[in-house]
Amino acid sequence: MTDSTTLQQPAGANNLYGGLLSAQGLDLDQFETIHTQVQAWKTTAGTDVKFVEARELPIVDVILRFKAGSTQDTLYPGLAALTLSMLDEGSQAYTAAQQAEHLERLGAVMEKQVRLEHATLRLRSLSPPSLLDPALALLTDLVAHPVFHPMALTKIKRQLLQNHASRERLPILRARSEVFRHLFNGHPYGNPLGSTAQGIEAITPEDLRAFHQRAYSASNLEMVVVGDLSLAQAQAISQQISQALPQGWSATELPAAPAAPSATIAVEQAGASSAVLLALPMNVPANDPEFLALTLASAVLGEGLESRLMVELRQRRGLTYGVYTHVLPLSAGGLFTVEWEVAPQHVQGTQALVETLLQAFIDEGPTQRELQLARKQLEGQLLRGIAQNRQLATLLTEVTHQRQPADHLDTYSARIAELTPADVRAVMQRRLALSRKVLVSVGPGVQQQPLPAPDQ
Amino acid sequence: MAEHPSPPLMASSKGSFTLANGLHVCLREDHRAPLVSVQLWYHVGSSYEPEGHTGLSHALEHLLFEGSSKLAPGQYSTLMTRLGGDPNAFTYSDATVFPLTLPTRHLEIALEAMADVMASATLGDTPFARELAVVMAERREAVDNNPWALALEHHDLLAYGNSGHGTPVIGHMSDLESLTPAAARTWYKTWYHPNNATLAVAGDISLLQLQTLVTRHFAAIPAHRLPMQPLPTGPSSQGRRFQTLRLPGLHNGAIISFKLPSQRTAQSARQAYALRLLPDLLANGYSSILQRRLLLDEPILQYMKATYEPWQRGDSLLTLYAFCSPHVTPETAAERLMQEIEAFRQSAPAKEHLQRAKARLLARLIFERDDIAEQAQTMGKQAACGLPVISLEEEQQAIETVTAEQVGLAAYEFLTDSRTAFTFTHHKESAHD
Repeated sequence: MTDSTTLQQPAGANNLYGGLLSAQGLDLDQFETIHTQVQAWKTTAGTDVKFVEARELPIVDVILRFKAGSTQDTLYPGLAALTLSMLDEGSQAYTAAQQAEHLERLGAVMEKQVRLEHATLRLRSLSPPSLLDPALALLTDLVAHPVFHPMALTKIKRQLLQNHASRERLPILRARSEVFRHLFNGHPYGNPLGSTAQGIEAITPEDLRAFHQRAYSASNLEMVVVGDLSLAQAQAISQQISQALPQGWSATELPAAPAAPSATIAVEQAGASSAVLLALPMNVPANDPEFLALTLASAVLGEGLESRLMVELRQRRGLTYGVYTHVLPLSAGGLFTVEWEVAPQHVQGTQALVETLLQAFIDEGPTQRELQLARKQLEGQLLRGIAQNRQLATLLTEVTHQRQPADHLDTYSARIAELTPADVRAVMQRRLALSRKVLVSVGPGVQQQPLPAPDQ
Repeated sequence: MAEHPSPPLMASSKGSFTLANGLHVCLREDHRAPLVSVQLWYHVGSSYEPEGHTGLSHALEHLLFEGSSKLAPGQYSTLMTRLGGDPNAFTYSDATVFPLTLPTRHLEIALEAMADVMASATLGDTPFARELAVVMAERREAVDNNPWALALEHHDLLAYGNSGHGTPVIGHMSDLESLTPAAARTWYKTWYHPNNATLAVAGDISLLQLQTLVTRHFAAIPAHRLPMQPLPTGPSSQGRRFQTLRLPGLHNGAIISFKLPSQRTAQSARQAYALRLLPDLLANGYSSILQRRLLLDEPILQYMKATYEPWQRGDSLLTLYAFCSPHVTPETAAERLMQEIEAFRQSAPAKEHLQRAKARLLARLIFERDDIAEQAQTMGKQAACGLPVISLEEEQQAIETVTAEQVGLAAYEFLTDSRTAFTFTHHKESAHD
């Protein structure tokens, strides 16, 4: 090795595999076959269930997703988050301490998450009946028969408020909140934290009980089970849980998100770097035929080291550690976002650069080569995802929530293979408009400087 | 409900071999999907770095795929993605790691690329300057702009003292400013050799197939003499150490560490396994001993957890992270915590507490099997700290047989005042709040 600064081009560097001999002659474009054996049914109480039997490991994953997100509680913002948090604070049968003690003694792990459109509980347990049965009994009891003790509620309220304060101090989370507040003003999506201090203050245990009776209904639940158990066992579990729940209520559709004007929002906050976000409204639900083209567009533009934005901002200019695009489908209108962190003096310079690159991409579309890389990237993600029980359960939960067809995962690679560069460009031109952009930055206010020249 | 049902024992097919040039290869077979996780672990990381050169291993990691004899800059990442893989790179205190999970039929291409980079990385001046700028941006974003990350960096420096494990992986900004491409090239020439690396593989391949492919691509790379590197031992009984940090956005709380042996430095296997049960016993989960006392019975805390890194060349830490309830100061909370620790230290844990901790640790070891990348990572960590790869059955049986007396002895010996480091964290109102 020499200390020379001139890079010698390796043999064959212009082709895809450089000088690697073992890659020569292989068909790299061949797609893998994906076949997931998903069983689906609806329980008598109206719960949609998906199940995959996976016998190789002694593990069972159960996911319960209720349409009990914060968009369901606009009268008392915070009700959805508090109700979910209170589920393991004591039931009619057990105190909070007993619930935790029993689950922990079994080695089982429970997680909870509340978002705009759902409240989700996950249980992961070992599969021998001596461990699984009591873990499921505890899960069923805490989700179906919570007691909502006033003392526990006081504690949980305080924690929720603190959690919100911490979130709002983190630059990138603050930037996301600002986007939602602006784009969805007056709509249930307009309160991204899902609560307000006044809402939390006003909520009583009685409110939680009323919310639980509706939002935690069996008919408002989507369930996924993956792991080391039979179809008959999974059916019995789904019956057991859905029978125990309140009955007969389902969330209604949200109104469509209103159109909002373009805006530039700068939040001044002390710090070492600035978080920047560019968001475009994207009213394309995940089961819309055009959504897949936008997923590919995002992969080409800003997912991975070789994506367009990463090459321009990181590889050519060394401005940032990472720039990431994301498509967020929501049922009543979603977002296409670009996020990055940068030195505070380069906020405006990078905003202009990203806008220029994004507009050029919408105008021209991806190249065939970029598109093929993005297809294989998405296919690889799916292959690795379905290979793990936990991730497969997550994917099935999303597929159900997004009301995708039953063969969605199995046909995914074939469908992305069919889309051409022209298709992707046409969808972007129909669905994304920079004239509707919202630009947010969170960081110290400093004198702006021009960007360094590329490839220095 | 059965009293203490045992988790199932897991059989696993594992194997290993070493090439004549010293490259160590370990495999855990997993045929659930046609995928393989292949991870090249170089036994060098931030704990190896000399004073004034912090961040060198991580900076080199950023440069490694900027060209080699068969690959143009950036080509590794593009090609591996095109093959359905997820090329990545991490630097830890004891290792620099290049992990990749991809369809097994493309494994050979990945191995050829990794071998080419081991033998002939270009490490040019131009990519060095740019990647150094990227690393500085990473530091600003991930550490300097994040009060919790800053607190952890300060805490590790206090707890490990001048032993290498306190060195921040990303490096101090002042050191990054003076890093040179020549230093990165020297670091590469010193440590990136087959006899200083482990290839950890988990997935859908047999040992024989793997041996053929690895030999084909790595056997010709020569071994190289490695510098003597004493094990970092950490501060020897410096006594209690304290510091206080006030930053906007920090929770009021305390970070408390006890210096403990790692799995490598423990005096016996029994002691090593007893130490691994401490985090769950003491502070992880609502029914752990400390959470029960200090979150539930007498709620001076509103959050706590414990960590212990078992796989480390030198001594490790048991660290407790505690956030205070309103009107409780970090100092008061830490004092109460230490009283509880002292009570725990003075008597062996109750049987039901020990059973609970074992059930959680054993279940996690099985849950980890769901992801081949995690399986390979565990093998890599064990190798990087100089231990043989441990089979899951062996680990399960060893954990099952730990007694309350063994845990009590370990706690008595190591959870002492003189081994502690305290960082008190205070939220500071900023001008914009």
